[in-house]
Amino acid sequence: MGAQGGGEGYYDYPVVRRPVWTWEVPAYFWLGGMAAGAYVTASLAQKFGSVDDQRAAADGYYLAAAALVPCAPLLIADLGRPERFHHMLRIFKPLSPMNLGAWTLTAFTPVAVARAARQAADGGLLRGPLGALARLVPAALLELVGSVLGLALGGYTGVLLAATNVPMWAKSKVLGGLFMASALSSGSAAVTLQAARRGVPDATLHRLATLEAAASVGEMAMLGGYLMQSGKTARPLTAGRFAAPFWLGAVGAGTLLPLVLHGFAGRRRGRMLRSLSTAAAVCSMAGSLALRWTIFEAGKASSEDQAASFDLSSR
Amino acid sequence: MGSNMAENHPVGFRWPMKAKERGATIIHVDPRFSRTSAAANLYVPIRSGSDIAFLGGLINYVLSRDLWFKDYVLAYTNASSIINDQFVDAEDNGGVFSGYDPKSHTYDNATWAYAGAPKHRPARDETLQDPRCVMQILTRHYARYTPEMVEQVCGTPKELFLQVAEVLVKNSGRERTSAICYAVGWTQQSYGAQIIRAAGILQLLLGNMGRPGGGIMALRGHASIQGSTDVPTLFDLLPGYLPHPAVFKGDDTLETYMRESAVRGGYWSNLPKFMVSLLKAWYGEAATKDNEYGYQWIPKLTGDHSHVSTSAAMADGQVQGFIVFGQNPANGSPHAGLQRKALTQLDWLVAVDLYETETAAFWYAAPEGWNPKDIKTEVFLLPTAGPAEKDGTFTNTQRLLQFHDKAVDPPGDARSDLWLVYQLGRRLKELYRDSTRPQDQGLLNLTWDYLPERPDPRWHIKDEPSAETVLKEINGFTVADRKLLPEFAALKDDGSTACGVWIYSGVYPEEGKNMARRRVKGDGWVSPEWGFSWPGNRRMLYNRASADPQGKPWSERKKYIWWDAAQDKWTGFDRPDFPETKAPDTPPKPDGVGVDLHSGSDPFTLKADGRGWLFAPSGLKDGPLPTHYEPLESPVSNLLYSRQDSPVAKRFTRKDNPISPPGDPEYPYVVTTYRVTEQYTSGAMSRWIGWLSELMPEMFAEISPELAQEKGIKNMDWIVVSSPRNRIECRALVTRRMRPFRHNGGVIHEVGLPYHWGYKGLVTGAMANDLVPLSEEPNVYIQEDKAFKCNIYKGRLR
Amino acid sequence: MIDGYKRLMNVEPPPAPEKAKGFFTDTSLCIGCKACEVACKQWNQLPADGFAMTGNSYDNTGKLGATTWRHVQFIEQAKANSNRQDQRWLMMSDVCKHCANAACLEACPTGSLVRTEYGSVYVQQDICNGCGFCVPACPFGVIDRAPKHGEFEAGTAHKCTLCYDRLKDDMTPACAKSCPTASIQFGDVDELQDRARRRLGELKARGETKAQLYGMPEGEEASEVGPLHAFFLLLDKPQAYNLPEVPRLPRKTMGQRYGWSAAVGVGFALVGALVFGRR
Ligand SMILES: Nc1nc2c(c(=O)[nH]1)N[C@H]1C(S)=C(S)[C@@H](COP(=O)(O)OP(=O)(O)OC[C@H]3O[C@@H](n4cnc5c(=O)[nH]c(N)nc54)[C@H](O)[C@@H]3O)O[C@H]1N2
Ligand SMILES: Nc1nc2c(c(=O)[nH]1)N[C@H]1C(S)=C(S)[C@@H](COP(=O)(O)OP(=O)(O)OC[C@H]3O[C@@H](n4cnc5c(=O)[nH]c(N)nc54)[C@H](O)[C@@H]3O)O[C@H]1N2
Ligand code: SF4
Ligand code: SF4
Ligand code: SF4
Ligand code: SF4
Ligand code: SF4
Ligand SMILES: [Mo]
Repeated sequence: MGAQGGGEGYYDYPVVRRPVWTWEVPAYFWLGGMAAGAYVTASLAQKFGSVDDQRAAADGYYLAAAALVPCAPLLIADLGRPERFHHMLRIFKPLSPMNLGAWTLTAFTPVAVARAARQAADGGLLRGPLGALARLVPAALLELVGSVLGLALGGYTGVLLAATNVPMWAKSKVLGGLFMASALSSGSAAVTLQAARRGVPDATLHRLATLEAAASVGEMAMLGGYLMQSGKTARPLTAGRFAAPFWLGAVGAGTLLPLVLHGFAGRRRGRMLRSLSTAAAVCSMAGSLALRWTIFEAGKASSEDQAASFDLSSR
Repeated sequence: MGSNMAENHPVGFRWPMKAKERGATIIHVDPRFSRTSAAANLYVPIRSGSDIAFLGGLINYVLSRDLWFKDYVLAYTNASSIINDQFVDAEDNGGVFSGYDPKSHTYDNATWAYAGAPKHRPARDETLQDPRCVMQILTRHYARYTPEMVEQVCGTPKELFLQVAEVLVKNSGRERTSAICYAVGWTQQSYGAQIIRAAGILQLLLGNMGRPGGGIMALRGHASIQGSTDVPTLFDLLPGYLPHPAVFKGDDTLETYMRESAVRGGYWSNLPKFMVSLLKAWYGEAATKDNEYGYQWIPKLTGDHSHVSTSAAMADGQVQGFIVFGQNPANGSPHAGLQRKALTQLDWLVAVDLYETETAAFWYAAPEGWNPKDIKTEVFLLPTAGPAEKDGTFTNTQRLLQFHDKAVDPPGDARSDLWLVYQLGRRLKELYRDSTRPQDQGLLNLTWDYLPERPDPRWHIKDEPSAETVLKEINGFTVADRKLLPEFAALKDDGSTACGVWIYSGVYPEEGKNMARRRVKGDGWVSPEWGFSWPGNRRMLYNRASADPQGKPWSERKKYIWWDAAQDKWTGFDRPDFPETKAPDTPPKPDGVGVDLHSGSDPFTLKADGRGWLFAPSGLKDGPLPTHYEPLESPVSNLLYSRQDSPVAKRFTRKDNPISPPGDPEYPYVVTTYRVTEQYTSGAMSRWIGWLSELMPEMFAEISPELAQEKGIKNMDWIVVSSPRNRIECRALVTRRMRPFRHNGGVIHEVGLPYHWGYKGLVTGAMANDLVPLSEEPNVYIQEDKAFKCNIYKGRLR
Repeated sequence: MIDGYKRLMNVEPPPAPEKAKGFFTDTSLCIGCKACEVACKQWNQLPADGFAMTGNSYDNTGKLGATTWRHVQFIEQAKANSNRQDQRWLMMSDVCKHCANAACLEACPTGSLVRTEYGSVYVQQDICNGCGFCVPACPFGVIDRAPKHGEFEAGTAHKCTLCYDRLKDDMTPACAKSCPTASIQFGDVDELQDRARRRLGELKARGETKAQLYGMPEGEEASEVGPLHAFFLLLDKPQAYNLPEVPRLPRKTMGQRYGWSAAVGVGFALVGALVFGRR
């Protein structure tokens, strides 16, 4: 005996409010994630890789720094009162993923920039007093600290969305994992892409590709888990407006295609290897943008799904 | 019943809600399931216009099952009185009483009178066996109003009706009482007064009058509408319900006018004291015994000058000028289209208001789309002060006067109504200063000094008259020393006292003692020291009936006032509405006048015979007993009588006021009009306020899913509602709160229309009053807003 | 230095806590007059937000929002083409629940949302930077961000303040004050809870079988968000009033969600170590 016209609930009014966030947010998630992925990849190479690996992956620091530059502006632009952005740092409140994220970004950006500067100095791109200054930067320490911060940056975004009552974000346990995987795959892809362009030794390129593929496998696993756990709740994503960009972009281009391409690349060498790796990398980067955008937008749509909200909050 | 109290008196409705919490049963009888129905224990549907059939059914239930309150009825009502043998009841005459003149559509009530002389001492048969005694006539009159008949006529399921009857009877008697609340759901019908009479009969039979928790509550309208009937703003009354002198009643001298006192008898035999004191209040020194205290200066009525009649005359170009204080006829009054046309016939119109109303803006904004150039009417809009911007009193539903003080100056040029009337009077007096024409002498002799000794320093308006000075004149004073009167008992008919409104006398008994200002809390549940209620601060009228004939309370639970033998006087929680030292066993003075004619156990002191009238031998223009008629415009024919509708209700048969006959396929549906909490009457006050407008932003029609389906209408569709007068468009609100009614086997659909929208304000919309016919209930001249006919179809106008 | 920072971020010490205040909204007493809605807008000078009819019974407000902090629901119940004798018209005045564990407050990164000395949840307008996180965090869809370029308090979050300003002057909140039938009862939360339990007993005794309390400490709905300082007596199941059966507090599942993303991160690092290490 429901209300006139309505189903179980009060007419067809949503239970929760539609998030007010706009495109800046998924854009930031994507860039921040890529920065994190690139930095971590680069640092892993520094620690465990060969000289070639190190040289090849070091470009990751440039990528990370470059990707981080627009992040803060994007976040600020999305605020209702941008001139008060600094209030984010009024308190330290890790309980709030957004507060944690703000601090992480604030801490990670200078680290990444400093490490990039050191790289530039070593590579002779940065000379004179600045270069001298940059050479004082403790590389190894920054690599460790930066990697931890990077992983935090890549890892908190999905959790932030999950820490709401938007059915499509909150239902599954693994949205955080999914965004983390996507961050790492796109980040490592960025490094691979750059390496392929620079024409590094095939062995190095193979190792980078393997790492990237591993990330994509993880991403695919997370996606599977996400869709299974979300069930009907994910309908705005799997059917309707966002279905195409999701299946083709996020799933197809983001995970399947790169893996296939890497598969082909397997034992190949030279130009063929380079072009396959390039293609795979581009796909994976574009895919992770599609993933962030579709989940973000479809999530907003799901906030208006009364039934999904009741399902999320049922006993 | 006939009231949507929760929606229209929400603050007052807290008390029924409290009573419900304490176990009282709330019954709501209404065509629509409203917010009141939602809060009630029992909702009972009734087709608009069939209330007398319903109440008649209850009367029949009580009489035929012998459930009436014997001791009360025998002692306190005219049940045993014997009626004139010329009397012919409507039952035996196709729905018309004796004395009807078909040509003039009026009754001569001579044959309704009591048998026996003198007039006010009816012969009685305490055994109630005499076929001509009231009880017998009553029983015969309602014999056919059976539960089955109620179901046929009202569309009320029989078992629901019986439930109501049982609850009412169970909650009446010595230990319990029941109250009936009504408002314009009853009054806005062509026999509104008779519906209320029917309730009165029922309550008398159940012993629910003059007793705590009993009675019939009129839930009045505008904040001081009660005050405006007391003082009054009515064309046919002088202050305090004195009749207005009328040519056709032969009131050509004060003396002939005074005959009314004898006609009415009872406490009304004091009428000369009230009248002379009124004339002294108005004309002061100029009022002398020799010039009949200025009686001739009062214009005499020549006919019906009610609002509706005046509008009709105005439409025919018979009215030159029109001043509207706080009214919005172009939207709020029946047949609003005709009302607007009437305004175009004026030479000048003065609208005194807080806002620019539809009335003030008709000349450029009316839906008729007139070109201002073609409108000859010169319109003046005078901004007025709101309640918080002026001193004054409100008289509320329970006759309670409460004084309120000005909090701020009105903005800009706005002035209080008192200021406007006072200044107008001053300037008119100035204008006619040298006139010697007899008809101007009344104006020139009016006492007109209401300015305070020195203006209130707090306000920038320095020439504001003093509301308290006016209130003092209303209270009255002895002419010689201008000493304020303690109460109306002190009034004299020799010109030695002056009193503006006799029933209010006592509100200002001595200098500096404004009883309407009192706000004493915690002085018992009757709270006699909060404000002042007329007459003489009595909180309950006829409260002598709360004690038995011997003067003892009917029961401990229901004690209110009683005879204190020790002190030889009436005492109790309230002021006795009875001669304070008249013992219960006082016999009537056979040759006495007024209340002396009453015994110590005749509680209804305003009545000639001191009894509650089951049968009304006089006072009503449309019959001594409530009788079911159909509304003037009804889809069905009268199942009880060959007479279809009220024989005496005024129809305004004119070509711009067509009425559709019963069974007319053009207009198959009943339509009723009403209010919602979120808006106020014509909307003039509420549609300028965003916070209210957003809550009810658009005009709509409430219809049942059944009707909607028949008409292929979905919720929120645009529909056109048409009546023989006009057509309007609005949204359809399809809801199960509306329902089809069974009538004599067939089905009658009812459409509901709120009447709050118009063409000015933040939100605008169609006006329900464009559809309403011009008509008048014969006693109080109210239009029939609550039941007429319409048709609907999906779509929009042109 | 510290002071400079505190000034820049305007940090102030909170006032000393008092007895928790809140609302017991008894919907069995509501007559749907909307006085509470109007009184709230009037006192808080919230603008009218739209003159559109919804067609949903007498509710033209729809839902709570940045400029609507009280909302009266109108639920029409009657079985299809029944004789309507089972007909009900339920009314309920909805408001911020001032949750004991408030999702909005926990989400707020700036500390704009605070727990006041009255135990209520309050948005400090001078702190809020409009990040918008509280909006989807609230399990009841209460709080909202005012349009960025609107004329009313643009860009910051708004909701019921429990009339903080009135409480400061020992005044009853405007909505409760204006309620003619005492459907909205304001007072000490613990005292109100006892009253509610008694009231439920009465109604049950009267045969109101569907009557139930929502937001009491003992209720399952309080298992995550805790007791609601604005709680309700309902005449039907919560969903009928668009109330979640068991409102979620995001914090409760956050650890687990962090866990998964950490796992992925660590996993990647290990794979990386292996891939680069194996030469
Ligand atoms: N919020 C608000 N309050 C108001 C007003 C307002 O406009 N808005 N107006 C004030 C004024 S001026 C007045 S006079 C009062 C009027 O107060 P009410 O009389 O309560 O006002 P209405 O809504 O016109 O009519 C009451 C009910 O009569 C029902 N009704 C219609 N036809 C019939 C019938 O034939 N028989 C019976 N028994 N019932 C019928 C209608 O469905 C409606 O529910 O309210 C006052 N209070
Ligand atoms: N169809 C239909 N028609 C009806 C009714 C119905 O039920 N159905 N109800 C009838 C009833 S009961 C009534 S009372 C009428 C009401 O009908 P109206 O009285 O014509 O309409 P209101 O909007 O009440 O007009 C009151 C005006 O007084 C103004 N005002 C307020 N305070 C003051 C003041 O202090 N001084 C002055 N000078 N002006 C002031 C307001 O701004 C407003 O414009 O409608 C009647 N018409
Ligand atoms: S508007 Fe005024 S008169 Fe009407 S219910 Fe409210 S308080 Fe009473
Ligand atoms: S109801 Fe929503 S807005 Fe109110 S306190 Fe709880 S979480 Fe915050
Ligand atoms: S919008 Fe304002 S109140 Fe809401 S979480 Fe962000 S800062 Fe806090
Ligand atoms: S407590 Fe104050 S702010 Fe909250 S709803 Fe009531 S009136 Fe509005
Ligand atoms: S004021 Fe009270 S009765 Fe009126 S709608 Fe609000 S809660 Fe209900
Ligand atoms: Mo009225």
